[in-house]
Amino acid sequence: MMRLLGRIALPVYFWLFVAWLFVPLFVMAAMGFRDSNFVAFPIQSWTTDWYRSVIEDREIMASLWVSLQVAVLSTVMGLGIGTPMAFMVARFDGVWRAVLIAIIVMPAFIPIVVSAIALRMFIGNFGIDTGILAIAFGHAVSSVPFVVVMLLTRLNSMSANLADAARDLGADEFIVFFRVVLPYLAPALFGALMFCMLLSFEDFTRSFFLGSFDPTFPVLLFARLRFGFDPGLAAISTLVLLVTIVLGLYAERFTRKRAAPGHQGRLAARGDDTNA
Amino acid sequence: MTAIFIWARRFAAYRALTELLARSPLARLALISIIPLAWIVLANLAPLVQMFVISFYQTYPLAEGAAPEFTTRHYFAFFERPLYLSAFARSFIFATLVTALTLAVMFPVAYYIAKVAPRMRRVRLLLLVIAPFWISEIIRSFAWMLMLSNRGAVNSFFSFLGYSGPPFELLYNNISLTIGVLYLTSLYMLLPLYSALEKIDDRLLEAAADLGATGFSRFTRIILPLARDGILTGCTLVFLLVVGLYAMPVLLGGPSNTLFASTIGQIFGRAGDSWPLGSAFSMILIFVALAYVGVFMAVLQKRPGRRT
Amino acid sequence: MPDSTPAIEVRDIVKSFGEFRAIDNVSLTIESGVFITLLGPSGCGKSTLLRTIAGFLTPDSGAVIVGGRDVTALPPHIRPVNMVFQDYALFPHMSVRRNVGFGCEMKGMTKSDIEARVDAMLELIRLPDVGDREPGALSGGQRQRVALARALAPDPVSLLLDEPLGALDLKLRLELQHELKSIQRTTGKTFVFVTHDQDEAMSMSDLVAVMKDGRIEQLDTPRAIYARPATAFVAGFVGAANMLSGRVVGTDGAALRLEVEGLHWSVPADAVTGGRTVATGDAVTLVIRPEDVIVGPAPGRGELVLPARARTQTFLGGRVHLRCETAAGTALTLEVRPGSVPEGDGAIDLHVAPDAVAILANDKGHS
Repeated sequence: MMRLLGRIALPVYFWLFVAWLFVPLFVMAAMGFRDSNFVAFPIQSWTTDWYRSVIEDREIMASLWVSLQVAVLSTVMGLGIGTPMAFMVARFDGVWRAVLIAIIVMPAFIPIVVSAIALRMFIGNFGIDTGILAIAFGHAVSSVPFVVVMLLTRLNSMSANLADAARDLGADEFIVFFRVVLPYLAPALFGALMFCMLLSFEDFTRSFFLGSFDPTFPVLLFARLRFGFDPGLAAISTLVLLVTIVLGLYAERFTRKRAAPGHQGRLAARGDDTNA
Repeated sequence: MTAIFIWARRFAAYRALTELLARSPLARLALISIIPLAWIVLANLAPLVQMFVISFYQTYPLAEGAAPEFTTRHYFAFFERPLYLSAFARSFIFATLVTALTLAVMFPVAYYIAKVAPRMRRVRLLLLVIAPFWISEIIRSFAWMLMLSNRGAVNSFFSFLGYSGPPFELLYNNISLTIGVLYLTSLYMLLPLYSALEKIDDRLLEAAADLGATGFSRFTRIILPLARDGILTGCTLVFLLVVGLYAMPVLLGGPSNTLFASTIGQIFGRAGDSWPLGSAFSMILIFVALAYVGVFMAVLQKRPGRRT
Repeated sequence: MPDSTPAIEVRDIVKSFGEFRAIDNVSLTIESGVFITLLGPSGCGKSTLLRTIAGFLTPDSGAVIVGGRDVTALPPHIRPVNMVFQDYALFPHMSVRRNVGFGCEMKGMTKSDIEARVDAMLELIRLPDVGDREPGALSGGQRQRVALARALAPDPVSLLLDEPLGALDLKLRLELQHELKSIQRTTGKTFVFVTHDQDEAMSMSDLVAVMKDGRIEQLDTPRAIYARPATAFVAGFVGAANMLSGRVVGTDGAALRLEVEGLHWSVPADAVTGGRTVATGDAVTLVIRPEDVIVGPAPGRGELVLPARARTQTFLGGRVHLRCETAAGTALTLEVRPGSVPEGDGAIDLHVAPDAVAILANDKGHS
């Protein structure tokens, strides 16, 4: 009986789940082809105009540009903070290490809305206004834990003798870092970079509370969805999601192939840290 | 590039610095820890501590030159309006239900990929299932709006099949909200479950079958206990995600489904003493949520009848 | 550099980890051009000593002098010694050429000099064609040789090798032992080698330092360590050893008269090991190697005789390990040709040449 379940029911269930995941995306892609100003089914006549005129929507283009700036900024911050942090954690063992990791990973366990608002109030202390920098900061706060975990996993697989060998051959600490350690980390760094960019791009809540007049793409989308939209919105959303999916898959596959065995890209970052 | 450092050796200061760093692991640790520690304090701890403090202020931001006055009335305000309490309760009940639902939905998926699918295809299947999760929360909400609205894909499908009655009200209610949130939470449950299930040695199951265990008892006595950590992690992540969800409930839920996160967000939109009030509510949310999760975990660690 | 300056000197090194004394007051002088092995069981301090010389560990007290220069306070990247690690530690993202040339780069050599040096090194290890490959594409033996070349390329005062052959299978290990030895002879470099494998130590080294519990028990040529072990530990560590208790009953100039289990034996006075002297009345331990014990009714002239009773025989192919017992109950092991001793518990006569006996003074105690 169980064998029957395993053989037939389970795969069927799995593929139904996959269908449930992807059908809405195809629906949205299809809607982008609707030859009408109204969003509704069924689609009687089709056009590619919406997709082609995406570039003409100034507001959307501006928001994409803002999103890009925020993504780059927050990635730089995330990597810049996460890298030394990973090295710092790597020096500890046992209880201290666990405590350190717990504090670092904390942002992942605070409800997003609370975290966003707390940051909003906090930056006011320093006279920083809401805006691109603030949003980038908010994104960095949530991506640093993932960066640290991804880099730590890679660092754990590095033999201690590697750095020692370099030192022994005459490399001072800076050279050891740039010529031996950093190249070793490169695959994980790349994965972390992609992760930060994509995480930043998809974020809403932090962008909402920490942004001001120039919205990121998700924030703009949110506003448009509440106050009326046309198939063009479906078109641009489809394009954006295609780009993010492609980049996300590339990043996942890259980290899987090049990194040390056992490293699993986003898997390690999102699910495994408390399991390991 | 290395040439720069080699060139720098002509300076005694550089030589002294590198000698110190090489000799003293403590010096190295100190050097790399400055930025991370500062970050941990400023980005992780300070904002929450400040929020906690502000929740006791009469007003915030403070007027020019004024000293803060302390009060606990914002906390009591939580109990004064049934609106707040009901939104709070609704959030927790909803989050619990969604967590359970996510677990039920995702466990077979995780099990399929981890145990049933051929090994060679596992990575590809995982990538397939992970792919949609790079998409923004808003875009995903949008997609479900298109699916579930009165003239959306689902209703259109039914009329295509010949149904001619009034369209199903699938949007702006608990159904749409649940489906949408489930769409978000699946990944957070899948990965820990997959990771835990993958680690279970197949030979354990074979041995059990050998010894006469039925499929059902293999499931309850081997798979479930060994997957327990994955289940706990997944449930924790999903629960905390749902209680903090802001945007999707606004788009897919209706006015009668206000969740507490929206309540908090709205408070900050008001003028006056909203920030302390919102802070107090946020604190309540954090503490209760973490306590809730903590109790949940403690209970599951000490389940009676579990032999370690 | 004048030949008289020792390559490496350690003076009164003490190193503890918490309660545990890893190196217990060790002093050692290593002359230039010597192949010396630090031999001992796990935990004896040999790797710790090597790492202290390399600079990865700072001694609690004592000094490390390399090429006449006190380097005790200097970090590893300044010390003119290079290490070959057990796991090779080749830089995975660099080609073989860049690995080998790394130390030269650190010295600031010009590109063309580095290229020439790398070529020379690859010739030396007899792998001239692997230059552009990455370490991952090499076999274990090849990696080991590249690690050696990398350590030699910057022309250090001395090479430190930390159980470099430990990860290789037996056949490869024997092959590389020959290679290492021949490279050492060719380059004339001082090699300080660490291993726990006594065969490896004995076959490759000019000098062996046997270590135990953070101290050097004996520093000598392999031959002397085997034939004249200074302590019971050394005797047992480098080979099988038969031990008999005895007492000095008299000295006769160049000979010692002993009383051993009721028998009277005369051995050369230089049989006493460890540079010690014994006096009449001292208790001593006699060490006799199994291959030096002969079974037979007719002892040669001057040979010492020991009656015994045969017990068990273990067949090992071309030879037999024969266990027997003396009248006093001491167990002895010896090697005989198969079939030369009848099975069973018969009485047999053992004899041994007097100069095959080593005398350990008992003041050091048994291990």
